[in-house]
Amino acid sequence: MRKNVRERFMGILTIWGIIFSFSSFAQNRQITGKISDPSDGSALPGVSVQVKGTARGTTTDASGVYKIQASDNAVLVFSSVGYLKKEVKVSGQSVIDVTMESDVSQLDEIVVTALGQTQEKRALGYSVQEIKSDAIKNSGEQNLVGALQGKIAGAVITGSGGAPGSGVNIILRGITSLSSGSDNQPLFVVDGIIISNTTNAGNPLPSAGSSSPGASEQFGNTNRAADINPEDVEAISVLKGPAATALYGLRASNGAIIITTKRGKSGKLRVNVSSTVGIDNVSKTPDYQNRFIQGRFGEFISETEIAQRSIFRSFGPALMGDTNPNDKIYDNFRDFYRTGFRNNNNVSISKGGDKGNIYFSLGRNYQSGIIPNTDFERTSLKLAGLYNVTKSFSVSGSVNYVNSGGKRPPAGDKSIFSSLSYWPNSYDVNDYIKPDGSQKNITLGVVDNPRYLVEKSPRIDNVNRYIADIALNYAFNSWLSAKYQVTYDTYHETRSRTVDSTFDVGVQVKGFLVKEDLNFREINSNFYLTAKKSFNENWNGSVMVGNSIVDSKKPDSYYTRGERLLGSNPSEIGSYKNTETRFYSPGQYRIVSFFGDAKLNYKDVLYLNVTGRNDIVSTLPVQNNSFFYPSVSLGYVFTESLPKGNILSYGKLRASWAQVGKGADPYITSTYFAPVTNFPYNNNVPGYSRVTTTADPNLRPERTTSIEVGAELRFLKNRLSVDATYFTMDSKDQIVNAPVTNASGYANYYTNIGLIRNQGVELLVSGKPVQTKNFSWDVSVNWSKLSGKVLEMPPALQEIVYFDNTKTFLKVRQGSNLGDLWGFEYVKSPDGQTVIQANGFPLVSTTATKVGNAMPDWQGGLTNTVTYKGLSLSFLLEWRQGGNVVDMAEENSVRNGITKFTERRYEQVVYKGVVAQKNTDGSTSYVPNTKLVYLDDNFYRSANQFYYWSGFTVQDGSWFRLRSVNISYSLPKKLIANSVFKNGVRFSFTGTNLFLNTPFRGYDPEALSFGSGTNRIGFVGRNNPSTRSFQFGVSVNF
Amino acid sequence: MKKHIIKSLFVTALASLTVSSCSQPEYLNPSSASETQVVNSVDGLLALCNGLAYRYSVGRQSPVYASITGSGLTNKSLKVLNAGNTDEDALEKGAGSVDQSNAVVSNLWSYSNLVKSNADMILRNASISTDPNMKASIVAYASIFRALALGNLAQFWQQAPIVVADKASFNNREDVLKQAISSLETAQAGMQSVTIPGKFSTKVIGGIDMVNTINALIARYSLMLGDNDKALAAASKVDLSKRSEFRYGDTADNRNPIFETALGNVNVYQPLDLNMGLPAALKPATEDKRIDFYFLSRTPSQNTYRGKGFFTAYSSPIPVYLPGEVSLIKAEAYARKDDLNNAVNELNNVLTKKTDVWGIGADLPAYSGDKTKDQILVEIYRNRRIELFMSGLELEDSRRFGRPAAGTANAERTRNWYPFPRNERENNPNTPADPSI
Repeated sequence: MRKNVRERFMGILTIWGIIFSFSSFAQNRQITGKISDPSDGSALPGVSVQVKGTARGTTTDASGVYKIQASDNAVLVFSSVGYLKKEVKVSGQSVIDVTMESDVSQLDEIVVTALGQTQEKRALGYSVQEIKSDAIKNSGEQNLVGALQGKIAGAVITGSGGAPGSGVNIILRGITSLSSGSDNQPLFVVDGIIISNTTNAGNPLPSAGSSSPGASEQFGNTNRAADINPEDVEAISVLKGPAATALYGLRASNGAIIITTKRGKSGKLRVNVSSTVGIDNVSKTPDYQNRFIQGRFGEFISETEIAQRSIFRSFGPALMGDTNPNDKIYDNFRDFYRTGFRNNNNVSISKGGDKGNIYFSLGRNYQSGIIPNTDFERTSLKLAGLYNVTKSFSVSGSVNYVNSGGKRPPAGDKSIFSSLSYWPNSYDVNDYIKPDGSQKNITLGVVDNPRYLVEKSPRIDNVNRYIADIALNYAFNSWLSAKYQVTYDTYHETRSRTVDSTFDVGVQVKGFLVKEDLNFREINSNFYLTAKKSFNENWNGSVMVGNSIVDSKKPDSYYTRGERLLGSNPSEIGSYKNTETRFYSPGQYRIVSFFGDAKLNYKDVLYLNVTGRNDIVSTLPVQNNSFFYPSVSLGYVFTESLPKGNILSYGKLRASWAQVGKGADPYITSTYFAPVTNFPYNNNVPGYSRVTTTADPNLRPERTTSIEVGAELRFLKNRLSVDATYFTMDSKDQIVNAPVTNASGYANYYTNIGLIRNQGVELLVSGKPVQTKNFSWDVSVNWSKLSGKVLEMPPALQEIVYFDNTKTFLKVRQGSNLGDLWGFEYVKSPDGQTVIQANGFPLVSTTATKVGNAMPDWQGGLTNTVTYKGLSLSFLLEWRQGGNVVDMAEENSVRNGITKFTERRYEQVVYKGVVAQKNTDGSTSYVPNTKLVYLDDNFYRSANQFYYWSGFTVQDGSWFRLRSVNISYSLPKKLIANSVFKNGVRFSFTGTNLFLNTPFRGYDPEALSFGSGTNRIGFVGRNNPSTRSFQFGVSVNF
Repeated sequence: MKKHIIKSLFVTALASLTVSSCSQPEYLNPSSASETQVVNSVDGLLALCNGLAYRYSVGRQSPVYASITGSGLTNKSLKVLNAGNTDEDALEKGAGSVDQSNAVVSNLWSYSNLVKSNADMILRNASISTDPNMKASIVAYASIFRALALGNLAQFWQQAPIVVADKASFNNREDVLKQAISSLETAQAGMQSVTIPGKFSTKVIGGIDMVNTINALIARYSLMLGDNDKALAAASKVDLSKRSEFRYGDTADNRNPIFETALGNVNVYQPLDLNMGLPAALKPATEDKRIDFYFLSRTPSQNTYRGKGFFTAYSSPIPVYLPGEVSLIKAEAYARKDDLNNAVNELNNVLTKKTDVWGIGADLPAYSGDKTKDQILVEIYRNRRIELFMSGLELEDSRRFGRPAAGTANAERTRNWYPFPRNERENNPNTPADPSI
C-alpha cells in the first residue's frame, strides 16, 4: 500500500530537498541513476538524494531516476520515508543505481491527510487512523462504511438492518449539529473526489392513516458511499477532528473519511480475479412464547369466527393438554426469513511504468436478502490512470460507473415488521397465499400478511452513478508545484412501489403507486500550489495555498403518487384516479473557499502546522456568508531528545487547536411561497402559501472549536504501540429551527442558538506478541468513550424533540446529554418505592422523565491476526457498552401475546410496592401492597399499567459480538511458481456476526429504524434484522 | 514552449477560479415562489387565496379541525376514544389538563395567526389588479378568511393580536371581533354591484358564496359583540337558499379533516352521546330529526355513537355557516332586544323546518314553551347546540348564554378560555397571563 500511495502523489506535493546554486565545487561530475524497490523491482519516485555534508540535493522523478552534481569523493545519501537510509560513495562512478530496503520498523508511517496530502505520521499534531485494504476485505462487508465497524476509535457506526443494500450510519466524535435534520456524518473523499454519502429518504409513505413518522423508516435506504466497491480500495484514512479536517472546511466539520483506491503499480501487467460466494441467515430473533394459541382471556377463538372476532391475539388456551392434533406453534420471527445468498466477483487489471499507470476493475456484487423477494446488486466499473506528459507534468484521471439497486422489503409502520408483531404463533406466516393467488390473512385485514406484502409489494430502486475526475500536476521546479483537479459526482435514482387495494397499506386509498426520480450532481474544482523549502539542515517547511469551488445540486428530483387504481396496469401512473407530482427542493448551493497550510519541521523532532480557510457559502445571508477559521497543531517527538533506550523506542506528544464552521441548508434564508400539496383537486388550481419558516437575517455559520491532545508511544522496538487521544469540542451558534411568535405570521425561524460540548477519549493499542519468520501474531485494540452535552439552550426553544412514539421521546434540553431518552416511569412514593393503585397494579406516570440515553457509554474493538506461513486467521471482537434502545415492534407483539415476555400469564402475583393511604390528619402514608392481581391480556394491553412504562419500553442495547472471522490461505509460491497463477492464489473464509450477546429482547439491536444520515437514533425493531453470513472466496493473481 | 503552455494553463485556471459569487439567483429555491413573484401578479394572489383556504380548512392542524374538535371536547359533546390521542384527551378532561403545549390549542392559535398574516398580505397587494371586479373579489375572499381567523382567536382566547408583527401587542377580544367585522364590511362595500370575474371563479377553489358569507359572518360576530341591530341587519341579507362551504377531495392532502381524523374511524373521537353536549333537561327531543342527520345510528356500536353530519366521506364539504344559524342569530337578537314575537317566529323557522339546502330539518312542532325572554333564550341555545352540532361555535354559545361555567357546579364546559400556547408565551413578551380555567 505504501508504495502505491507514494506513486499517486509523486511529484505532486512532495518535492524533497532543494538545490542551492551557490554550492559548487571543482571536479564535480554529473551522476545519474535509478532507484528501485528490491521486492518487485519497481521504480521509486520521490526519493531524496543528498550530497552528504552539503545542502545540495534532489529527488527522483516519476520513473525513479535522479541527476545530481557531486565530487568524486562525495557520499550520496538516499532516503525515503518507509525505507532504510542508504549511503553510497561516489568514487568516480557516474551511474549509481540503488535498491532501497523497506524499513520494517517504520511501516505504517505514511498517512493520507486532508486534501490527499501524504505525510509522515510522525509529523502530525492530531490523530489520524488508517485502515488497510486487508481489514476491509476481511470484514466481509460490501458497504464500505459497514466495513469500518469495530475498527475506528471514536466512531459510532450503526447499520440500519440486514436487508441487502441497507444504509450504515457513521458519526465521528459525536453529534455537533443539534437540528433534527442535520447530517452529522463525515465527508467522504475518494482520491480527492468528494463523493455524496447521502441517504435519501424520499417520500414513500406507506399510506393514508399510517402513523409512520416519515419516509426514512420505510426502506433502510442505502447510504451512497456504498456505491464504492470495497475491492477498489487500497486504504482508508479517518480524519476525526477539526484539526485534521480544517483544510476541508465546513463540509468536513464532522470529520472526513479519505479513501485511496488502487492504482497501477510499476512493473508487469497484473491481473487479479476474485470471487466470493456466501450465505446469510437471520442472526438474533426475539424469543417467542410457545405455550398458548390464539384467543382472548384464555378462551380459544376459532378460525371460523374470524368474521365476528379477530383472532390476532395469542392469549388463548395453553397448547399443553390440547387435543387438537393440528394445533401447533410456529416461530414466525425466525421462520419468516430464508437463507440469503451472495456472490461477489471482481476482475482488476493494472499496469505501471515510466510513462504512467493504469488500473481497471470490474466488480459485480449480488445479494439476495433473508427476506423473500428482496435483493441488491451493484455493478462497478472503474478506470483510473496517470500519464506523465513530461518529467514535470502529469495528467491523471479516473472514471467510476456504478449501477446499484434492488428490491427492498417494507419496514417501519405498516410493514413486515409491524405485521409480524400481530401474527399469532399458531399460524404459519409463510402460509400466505390462496390458490387463486390472493392473500391469506387470518387477521382479517388488521395487518397484512408480511410474506404476501413483500412478495407483492417490495420497493424497487435503481441507481446509475458516475464519479470522475481529471487532475493536472505540474512541478515548476524542485520546490514549487501545482495541482488542479476537477471532480464530478452524479447519480440518477429511480424508485417505485405499487400497493394494491387489497392491502391494509393500500385499502384506504384503494391502491397506490409511488414513483420517485432523484438526481444529484456535484462539481468540485480544486487548485493547490505547494512550495517546499529546506532552510538548513535543521529547519525545513512547506506552504500550500489553494482554492476550491463546490457546486452541488439535486436537479429535477420529484415524486409522483397515484391513488385509486382504475386502469389495469398498476405500475402506470395513468391508471390511477388521483395523481400528484411534487418536486423536491433542488438544494443547490455553492461554496467558494480559499485556504492555506504552512508546515514547519525542526530536526524531525518538532512539527508545527498552521492552517487557515475561508469559506464563502451561498446558503447564508450575504453579510455573513464569508467566514474564516484557523487551526494550529504541534507534534513533538520527545524520544529524540532522550537517550536511546530499549523500552521506549518512540514517543510523540501532540496537541492541536482548531475551528471549523458549518453552513446552513440551502434556501432557508429567504421567504418563499410553497405550493400547497394536491389542493384543491389534483393540482388543477394552484394554491400557494407563504412558508411558515423564516430565518434570522443575521444567521451565522455554526462554529466548532476543538482542542485535542494525544500521545503516541512505542515500546520494545515497536512491538507494542499505544496511541491515546483526548479531545473536547465546543459547537456553538447551532443553526436550529426555533419556534417564533405566531403573531409575526410565521411559526418557526432559523436562528443561531445553543452550545454543545463533545468530549472523548480514544485509545489504540497494538502489539506483536510473536513475530518470527513463519509465525506472527498481531493484536490491536481500539477503545473510545464519548459524551456530548447541551450546555446552553435558550428558554425560547427549551427542547428539541427528534422523535417521539408517544411512549419514548428522543430529545435534548439544556443540561441534557445528546441521545437522552425520556419516558414514563412508574409513579413513586417519596422514598422511591413503586406506588400500587387500589386495583393492585402499579401506575405509569403521565409525566415524562429522563430514562436513558441512546449513545453508548463506551465501545471497543479487538482484532487478532495470526499468520503462519500462508495461513492467516483474523477475528474481530466488538463491544458496545450501554446505549439504550427502544424496540418499536415489541409493544404490539407483547400486547398480542406473541413474545416469550408474555408467557408469564394466568397467574396471580403481588406487586412489590406501596399503597398510598390517606390519614385522618390529611397526610398520606404508604403501606406495603398485599393485593393479589391476575396477569392476563388486560395487564399486557394496558397502557397506564404496563406498556407505556419506560422499564418496558427502554432497553439496554449493549452488545458484545464476534463481528468477523477471516481465515485465509495463500498457496505456497513454490507450488505455483511455474503456473499462470504465479503471482498468488488465496482462499478465504469469512464469517460475520457469528456470535452476539446482548440483554436486548428483540432482533439484533444494531438496526436503526430511521436509517442512516439522521439524528434520530435509539429506535430499532421495525427494520430488517441483521444477518449472520458465511462467505468463501478465491483470489487469483495472474 | 510546451512548458510555457502548461504554465499559462495553470495561470488561466487559477484566474478562472477566483469567481466567488455565492449570492446569485440560482441559489434561490426554484421550486418555490418568491414574495415578489407571488404578490405582484393577479395569478399569484389567486394562488394565495387558495393557499388561505387550504391552510384554514385542510388537515389536522387546520382551524377547521381544531375549532370543531376543541370546542366539541371542551363543551362535552364529543368523547375521546383512545387516550393515545393525548391532546384531544386533555381537552376532554379540560381545566388544568389543557396546558400551554396542547397541540390542538396551539394549532388553532398558530394557524389562525398564519391565515391572518397571509390574508393581510393579499389585502395589502390587492390593488395590483387593475380590474375592479377582480380586486373586489380578491379582497372579499381574503377578508372572509381574515375574519374567520380573527373570529377563532376571539372565541377561544380573551385577547389576541390584531397586527402581524414580531412581538405584536394584544388586543382584547371585543376589538378583535370588531376588526373582523370591519374587514368584512370593507369587503362588503367593495362587492356592491360587482360581477365576480370568470377567471376568479375558475382559479379559486369554489364553494364560498362570498356575499352571503360576508353577511352571515357580520351577523355572527356582531351577535357575539352584543350588537343585535347590526346582527339582525346583516342576517336579514343572507339568502338562506344558498350554500357556502369548504370543499374537499379524496387524495392525501385535500380531505375533510374531521372525517379523515375522527369520524371516519373509531379511534380518535366520536360524539359523547345523543344529547349533543346538552344537559339532560335540554337534550334533543326524540322526535327531533336532526339527531338522524348528525348520527349514523341512534344505537351505539362498539359502545360508540358514531357521528355523521358533514363528515361522511373524504370529500364531504363542511359549511362555513348554516341557514339555521342565520335564523337563530335573528331569533337571539330579537329576543335580546325583547322582541319576543319575532324571536319565536325565527325560532320556529328552525324548529319546524323540514329540510334546508344542507338537508337539515328538525321537523318539530312550533315553540310552545313559556313566552318569556329567558325561556326563549334557553330554547334558542338548545337549538343552536342541536342545529349547529360540531360547528366549533359551542364554546362561545355556552359563555354567551351564561351556561354553568367550567369549575362551577354542573359545569357544562371544561374550560372557559384556552391558555396561550407556550410558543407565543416564550417568544412574545406581550402575551397576557393565562386564564385560570
